[in-house]
Amino acid sequence: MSTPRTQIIAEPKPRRWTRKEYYKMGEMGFFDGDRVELIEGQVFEMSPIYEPHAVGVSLADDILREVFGKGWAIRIQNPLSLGEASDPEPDAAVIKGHNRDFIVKHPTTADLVIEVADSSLLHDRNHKASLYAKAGIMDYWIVNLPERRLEVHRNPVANAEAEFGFDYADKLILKEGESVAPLTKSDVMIDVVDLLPPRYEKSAP
Amino acid sequence: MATAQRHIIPESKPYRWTREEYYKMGEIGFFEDKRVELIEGEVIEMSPIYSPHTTSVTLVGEVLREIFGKGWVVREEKPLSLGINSDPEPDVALVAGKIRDFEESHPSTAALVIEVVDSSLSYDRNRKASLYAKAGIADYWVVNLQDRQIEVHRRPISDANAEFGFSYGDKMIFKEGDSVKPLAKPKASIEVSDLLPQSVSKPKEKDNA
Repeated sequence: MSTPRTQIIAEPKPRRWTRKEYYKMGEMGFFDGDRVELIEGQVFEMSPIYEPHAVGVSLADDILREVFGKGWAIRIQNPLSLGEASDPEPDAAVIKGHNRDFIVKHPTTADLVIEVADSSLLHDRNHKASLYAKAGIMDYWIVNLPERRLEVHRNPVANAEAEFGFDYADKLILKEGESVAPLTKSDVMIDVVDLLPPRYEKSAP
Repeated sequence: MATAQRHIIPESKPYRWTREEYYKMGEIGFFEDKRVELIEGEVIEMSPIYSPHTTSVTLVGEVLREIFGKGWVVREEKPLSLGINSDPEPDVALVAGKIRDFEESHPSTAALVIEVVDSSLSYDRNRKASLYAKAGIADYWVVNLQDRQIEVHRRPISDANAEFGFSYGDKMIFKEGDSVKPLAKPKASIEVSDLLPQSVSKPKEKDNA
């Protein structure tokens, strides 16, 4: 028989940061040189860049330049300004226009976002997918290195169960040998195999 | 809009703030609007304080000062410097020494920590307990206003299931009518009812055998 008053009071909650506060912290030398990104008010450390991840990102870079060419900006591991409390740094983002367009403000959306996932798979599938869906990013791909496949997320929808209230309704899993066209360049097919690094042995930590 | 549950995904690593960064944030005015504390690298906003809470904290402070006297400092809602990533502000901390010992820096331990809890029971029983156990605080009490009892936690142990890898091996409940002896002064006896405000919204509880 608890009092109504106590039922309304919430448990202590984590402080959420705005992008302004986050950049101020960066200016003041916080983060100790670590690579970090801001996801809906929480600061996350990014994993160290192991070889397979680096190769995966470079392959995405090569393919995207080939496929998209002039009239599109390709940004690699640079920030997207998504709302007041998010500043993710996706492995690759394609935005209509030219890289010079973003001299004053980072892009606030992207036509295609690609994350290369090795150890960060769950983070990319859950936190990041919900974030990108919320931001209305129509085409979100995860290059899943451990399982050697491409996960294509489309059709952002509201979903109360998802971390930030949004998720992708359509998820396609594509394996080596299959191919997919970006939503905004539907005449060009990208082969999944071109996005995957060569098979490798995980080196001992 | 806060999410209803904590999504803990093992590989995503929330950045853990150091106390230095936390104090710098305070200096530049990040926390003007809310009371906060630093718990193992996470900045947590504290719940608002209601009067029964304040009454109880004051009662606890008075009782401890009376019992412990000289050679001890009773600090209310002041920081403890526990490790590089934690700066909690327990409701009451009993610290050996004199007030001036802590001019330069906050105490790095306490002989007894007491949290008065109205609404955040689970948080103080679990998360905070794990933090204090990790810091080696030998005697940790939760004054539970809702159930009108004191929960005494003792014997810090390592515990893989606990949030910060530690918890208390012994947990005892003392109700109104009981008394508790603090580890730092086992000859002293503290009546549970001396630490509780008069019940306000709940009907008076009967003494059950």
